[in-house]
Amino acid sequence: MKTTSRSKADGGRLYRDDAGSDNTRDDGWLRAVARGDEHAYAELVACHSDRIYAYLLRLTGSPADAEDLLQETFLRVWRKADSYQPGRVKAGTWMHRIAHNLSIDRIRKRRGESQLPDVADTSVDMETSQIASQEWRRVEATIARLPENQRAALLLCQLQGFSNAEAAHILKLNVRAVESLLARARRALKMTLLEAGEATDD
Amino acid sequence: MTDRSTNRPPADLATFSSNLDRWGPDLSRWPDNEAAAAQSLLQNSDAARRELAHSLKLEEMLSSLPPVTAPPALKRKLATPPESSSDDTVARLLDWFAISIWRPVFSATVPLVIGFTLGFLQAGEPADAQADQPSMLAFSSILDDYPEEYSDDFQ
Repeated sequence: MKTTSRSKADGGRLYRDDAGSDNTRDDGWLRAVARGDEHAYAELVACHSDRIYAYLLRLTGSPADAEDLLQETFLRVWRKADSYQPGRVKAGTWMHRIAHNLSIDRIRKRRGESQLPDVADTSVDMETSQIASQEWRRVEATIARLPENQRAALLLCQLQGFSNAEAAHILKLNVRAVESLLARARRALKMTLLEAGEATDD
Repeated sequence: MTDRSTNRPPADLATFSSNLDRWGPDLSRWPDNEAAAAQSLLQNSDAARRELAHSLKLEEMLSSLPPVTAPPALKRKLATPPESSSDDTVARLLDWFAISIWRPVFSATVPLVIGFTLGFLQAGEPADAQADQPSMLAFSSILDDYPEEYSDDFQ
């Protein structure tokens, strides 16, 4: 997603077509998928799977869960493409909402079974699969420690490139609530990553 | 926090700091009146500039995280649509019936179809077979009156 499409905090519309033809292209693909077009489905996977996987991995903290959930997400996309309403939200927003709902169900189920990986496990997974740098690991681990809803809001707005309004749609919240979650998340990150670092430097 | 409908600057550093956390350090993404107020505060306050620098540093840390990509094998697997066979058809049919507006139509149609089917099946049976039982009852009194003459017919 192009970051230029991000809208102002107080005027975020859910659908902006001024980011080029990506939205129109995605809409066309989803309409084709609804008719059973396998080529359009493959194009959607190619364009969106990395981005959705990154969100799922950082939200769940587990590569295995992220892979499962990505498959479930695209299965839903294949089966429910006819329920997508072009012009209301962008295709990427719609798919992220599916992915988010599935991941929240998974996280809650895991929590009930006491199998939710802890932060240390998460950072180890991240290290082995994706991240080499000490600094990056520290940032990822700090994000992983945030409460689930703050983490989701931060990931969507900061790393996935959604506007506050789009994040609100994905999280089924109002924009004010998302802004509040973002504020708490950023404050926590500053305290952990910046102020703690400064204290150490001193 | 300041009233969004006014253009007055933030009352204090705390408000500016809170807005930074809420909307991030890119002032072009702030509401116009809040951004203008923040600009005026930044011109006059070292503390506000430090807060902004802090937020920019955090933004930089987050945006410098390496991109995460899905495993190539998973992407290859995903590129083939899920089984587009019977399971998928059943799921689509269930989805269709799940749309509430069709439920009453479906409910009204089922007994009609069953009724017509039973009617057509009965219409296909031989006339004698249909008449057998009622005629037995209708002529049972004759059988009682003339048992010897009609006994063979009703055996």
